[in-house]
Amino acid sequence: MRTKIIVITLVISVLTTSVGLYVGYLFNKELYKKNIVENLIEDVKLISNYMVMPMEFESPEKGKEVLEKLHSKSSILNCQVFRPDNTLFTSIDFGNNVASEVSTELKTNEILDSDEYIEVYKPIIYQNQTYGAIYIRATNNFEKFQQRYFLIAALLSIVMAIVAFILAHFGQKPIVKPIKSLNQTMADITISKDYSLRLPVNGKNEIAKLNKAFNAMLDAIQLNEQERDVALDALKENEKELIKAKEKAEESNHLKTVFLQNMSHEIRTPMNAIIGFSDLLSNSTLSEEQKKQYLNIIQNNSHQLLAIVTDILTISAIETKQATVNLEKTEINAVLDELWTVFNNNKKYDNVELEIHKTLIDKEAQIFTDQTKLTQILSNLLGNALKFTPKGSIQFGYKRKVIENESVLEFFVKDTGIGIDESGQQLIFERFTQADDSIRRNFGGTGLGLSICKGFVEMLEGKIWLESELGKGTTFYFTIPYKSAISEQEETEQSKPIPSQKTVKTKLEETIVLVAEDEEYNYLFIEEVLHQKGFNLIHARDGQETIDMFKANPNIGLILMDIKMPVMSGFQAAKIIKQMQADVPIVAQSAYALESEIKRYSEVFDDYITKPISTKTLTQKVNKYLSVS
Amino acid sequence: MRILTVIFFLFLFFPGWGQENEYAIKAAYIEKFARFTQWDNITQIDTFRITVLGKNPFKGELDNLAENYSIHNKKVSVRYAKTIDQLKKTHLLFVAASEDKHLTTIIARAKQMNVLIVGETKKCAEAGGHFVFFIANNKTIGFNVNPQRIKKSGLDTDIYLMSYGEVVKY
Repeated sequence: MRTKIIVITLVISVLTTSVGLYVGYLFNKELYKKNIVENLIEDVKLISNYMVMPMEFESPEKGKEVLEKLHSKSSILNCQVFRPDNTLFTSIDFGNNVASEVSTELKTNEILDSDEYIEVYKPIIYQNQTYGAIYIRATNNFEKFQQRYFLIAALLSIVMAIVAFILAHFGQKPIVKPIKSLNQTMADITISKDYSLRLPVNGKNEIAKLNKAFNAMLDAIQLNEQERDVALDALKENEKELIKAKEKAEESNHLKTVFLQNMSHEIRTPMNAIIGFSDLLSNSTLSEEQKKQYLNIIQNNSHQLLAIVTDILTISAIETKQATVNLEKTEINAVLDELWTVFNNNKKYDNVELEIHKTLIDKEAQIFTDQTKLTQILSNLLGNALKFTPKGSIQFGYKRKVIENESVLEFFVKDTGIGIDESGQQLIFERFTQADDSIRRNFGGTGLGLSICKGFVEMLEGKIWLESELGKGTTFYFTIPYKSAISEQEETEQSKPIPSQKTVKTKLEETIVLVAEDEEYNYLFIEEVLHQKGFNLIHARDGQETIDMFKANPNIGLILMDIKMPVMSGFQAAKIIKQMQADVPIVAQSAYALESEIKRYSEVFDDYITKPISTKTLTQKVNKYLSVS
Repeated sequence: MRILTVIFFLFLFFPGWGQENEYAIKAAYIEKFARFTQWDNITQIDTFRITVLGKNPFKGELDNLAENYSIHNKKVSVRYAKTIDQLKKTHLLFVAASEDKHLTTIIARAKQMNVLIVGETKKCAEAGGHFVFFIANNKTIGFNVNPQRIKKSGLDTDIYLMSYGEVVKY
């Protein structure tokens, strides 16, 4: 940069000087010639005047004396003076020895200027009298002029170049220094990628403007960089999430495939038993004991099948966030006692002790939580514990703790079973997974139980984890918030709305139960159960028929309404009937078992029964609304 | 004019032609002295007057001049005076060698007359004559010129004419 500036300055200086000198040369050349001619003309005039008297007195000697005075003029080569009749009056030659002949052109123009000579021919006129003419030839000395001029020009060029060099050397500093600084800053930025660096802005000159513009550019870059970083981070995060999601989707897809295979197995197994033993039952040669045994097998497998479907629905509800939390006063100790009773009576292995640990008195153990979900979590954990513990003990219970300033109940289910290895522990809460495939083969199960537990615990704002050692046993822990129901008990009771339970006390023979059901077999089952209990039934096969029959029979005390029916849905029909007579109890009976659906039904229906309907449930529900006198 | 010039030229280069030709040359010189000198009010006069004081040496040369030439476009008249007392108004006064004894008086008188004084002796030059002839190397005729005296007389003589002569300061 520095060298370039110096070189450019020098080149400009030399060029400018050269052009200036050349223009000067052209100008001076003309001026020089003009001066030479003018001087010569002056000489001619002077000589002419001084020649008057010699010519007047006809004295060529005197005339020559006058001409000799031209000797001092080195440029004059020779001079001749002619009389009026063109005869030579006198002449002088300063060594040129060139015979001069006055041409007609010269006589006409009086001055001839060639590259070599200047010739002047002038008449000698004095006081209006012509005495003759004078001719002078002179060299223009142009070569000397050129030599002298170019020598001066060369010297001047050298001096100008030196001056330009000195000026450029010192003058470049205010330019080069900031540019060097700019360059250094740019290099620093390139290396360090530190866009927070800035150049000093001093004054208002071009460099300051450049620095200012550069700083503005850095501002923009820095901003862009920050925005890009943010966008990049977001992009990376998104990418990670996408990869995770992809992996999860792939994993989920894989798991679902495995799950479907598993489901197929799990569903086919009880179905196989149900279908197989149903076939056997048609054989009339069976003894009563065999029939009872087969029916028992069919019943057990049906329940197993129902459990599988229920699990699938539950996990589906959790996945689709349709499951909701219904907080209610829950007596934890009672729940545990009930579970103990149920599971102790259904132990797979007799040499397993089931122990219960309650750390709060019954009053303190009353909390607000979703009892159904809590019960299911504990049931699943206990079910697993019983399944994987061939001998030893299973302990379950809870402790009240404060974790992160939050009062919680920490439940545990501890077994001395087969245990879970470390890799299994990481996967065990994932949906459709079990610790390893051998578990499914050896113990069965859908692998949804713990996923449901995890989903429910999280819905209850708690955490679930496990500690396990292969061959020694497993302990599952989970927490739920401890929201005591003691202080709010009375208030809750006061504010508790009067149950909307509609109990119709009437005579059994006068009471009609309207069963809205489009599936004939489902109706036959209900008819069979309720006839045995002495109820009168009428059957509607779609929503519209249900309305019509309700209008036609004022003694209808209860309506069992299927949801999915032709012509008009049970939901729509129930709404219309409620508008007609709000106090008639309508119980929904549907295969739609999702919690969200059930919640929606509660807006219209007084109660619901989930299909498949058990005899016990059906009887309970009908009795609940038809308190027969 | 041309004849006179030729004669002048011949006499100039051939002075040996005799003393009598000397005055023909001097007459030609006198014509040039008069032609290249300016007098006051010269335009207002009709005749240019030349006076020869003393013994006339020209033997009709000046008369020839007066007959054949005009000076400043005026006809020329030549007068002859024996003594200073006979001197009348004139433009050019030729003081002959015979008047050397009276030069002081003559010059003093002439000073008052706006007259060009031409002499032919060294004494005349020393006395203050404006143009004074001399014979150089016994061959050629030359003249002394006294510019200061000319200027003091109120005359204006051509510088080139003066440069042609030998300047003296008396």
